[in-house]
Amino acid sequence: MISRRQFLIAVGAASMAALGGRFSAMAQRRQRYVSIMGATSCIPFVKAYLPQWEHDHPGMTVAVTGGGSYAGLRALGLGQADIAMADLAPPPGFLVVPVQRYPLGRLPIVLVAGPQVGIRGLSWNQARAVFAGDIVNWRELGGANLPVIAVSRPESSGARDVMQHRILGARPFSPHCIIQLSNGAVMRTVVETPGAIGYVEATAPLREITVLTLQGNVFDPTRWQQWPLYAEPALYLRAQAPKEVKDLAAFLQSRPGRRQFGFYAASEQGFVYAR
Amino acid sequence: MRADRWAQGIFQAAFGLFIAVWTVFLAVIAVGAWHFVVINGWITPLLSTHWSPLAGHYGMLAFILGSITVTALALILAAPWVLALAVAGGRILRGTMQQTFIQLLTVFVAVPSVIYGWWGLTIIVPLVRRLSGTSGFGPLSAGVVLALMIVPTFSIMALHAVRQVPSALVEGSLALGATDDQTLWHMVLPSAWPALAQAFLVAVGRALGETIAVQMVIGGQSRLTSLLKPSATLTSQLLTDLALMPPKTPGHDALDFMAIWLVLLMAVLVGLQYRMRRGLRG
Repeated sequence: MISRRQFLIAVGAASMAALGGRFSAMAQRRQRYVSIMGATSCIPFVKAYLPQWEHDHPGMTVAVTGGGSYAGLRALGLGQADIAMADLAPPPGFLVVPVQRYPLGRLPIVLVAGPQVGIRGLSWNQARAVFAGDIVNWRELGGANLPVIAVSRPESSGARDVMQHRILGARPFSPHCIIQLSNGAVMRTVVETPGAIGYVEATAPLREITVLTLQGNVFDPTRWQQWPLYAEPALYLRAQAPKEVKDLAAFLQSRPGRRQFGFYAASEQGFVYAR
Repeated sequence: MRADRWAQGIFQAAFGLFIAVWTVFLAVIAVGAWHFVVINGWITPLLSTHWSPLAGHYGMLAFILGSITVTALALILAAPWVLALAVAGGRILRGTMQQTFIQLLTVFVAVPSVIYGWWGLTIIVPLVRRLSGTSGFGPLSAGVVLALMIVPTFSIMALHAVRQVPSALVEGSLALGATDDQTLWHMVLPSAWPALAQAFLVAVGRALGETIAVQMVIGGQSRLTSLLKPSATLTSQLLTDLALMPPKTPGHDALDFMAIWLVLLMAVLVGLQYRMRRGLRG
């Protein structure tokens, strides 16, 4: 049994915690900081330009967190983040608040395999069969006698969403896929596991790995318009977001150097997304 | 007198803060778990293996079995080794060698689990792959990595348990003509048993609660078909799906439900340990 005095101290401590939360909420309303959350593929680009924006906006600080596209969009919807970075468009009904979209262009997604598989490319149907688990040995495609080991990202990943919709359609991913949490982990697993195939957003250097052709298309960063598999990352923010938040999104959207982070600006395609 | 009152106040405040923080913590996950139970029931999620949270399927059996399997595997691999290390460190090594050994174990306790996971990716997964012809990702790799992770913590506690056996008992046994081995098996280890059991419990807790190192090598699939095929544990799936279902979303309640099960499993283990100690005393 705890004494009356101990009980009062516990209640006091809980009250202090609640008051702390209240002050924190008041501080948030003054919006001296902006929180950005979502697709990990966008983080290097966003982080590279934040110091410049913070320098131009004294007193403002920006926090950037990964977690994946779905997590960012959910956090935006719940008011836990000011800006969501997402590789995918929110499914209908996912966000109940009106949002604005600031497209960042295209982010190519490439299929990668170790050189031992003996395959240089796949058709759409072959890629579907490989990731769905219908093809279990590379020999079935004219490659090496190695078991196919598919490596995927978790459901929170925007790249996985693109693979699901563009490659697999209604088929689910193979139940034997290895799930890795980041592009880097997928790359490492593919490099080190004989017979492995995975998919990554082409933001990371693609060394020691075979980038497979897709339906005869070769991934070439200088001719990125011809690559058929890509995500369309964007920044999402609430329509009623404070001025600073909108300013930050517009600033990031207008940066010219994002190609070095794997993003190809929509304007380079000759059209501009509707906001 | 005044200083005493101050000291007493500080101790009581620390205790009160402990109660408040842990009550809030448990209440948060209990409320989420309760929401989950109201909609999905207690039994169905525990007996189903169909996990597809975006589609509203929350079968957790594979994760529960995954946690039990990986933990059991880690303990089976680690326990004999730890016992041998404890005896070596507590009864055989002396002086500087003993101190160095204890310091080394302490250093390994402090190694972050992500490093163990990285090491597992680099050494254990390729080794399992080479030996089994599979991808190398699965409960077996996770069990081996966990075993290596718990060895330092488990060994230090076990070593202290062995060292705490009164030397009078050991000397008495030897004086009566028992050999070193007989003394070890019939005197030292039975005397150290309560503390060894506590060390075992801490190791179980560490293994059951480990997340990132397991996630890195287990493969992440929501099924358990073999020790050599990708699967998941309660904690590794919590980590994977936390991004998909952050707090205050409907699916997050399922993660709270998983967390409650982890807490309950630990509570059962603690209860067992107390019962065991009571049994030994009396």
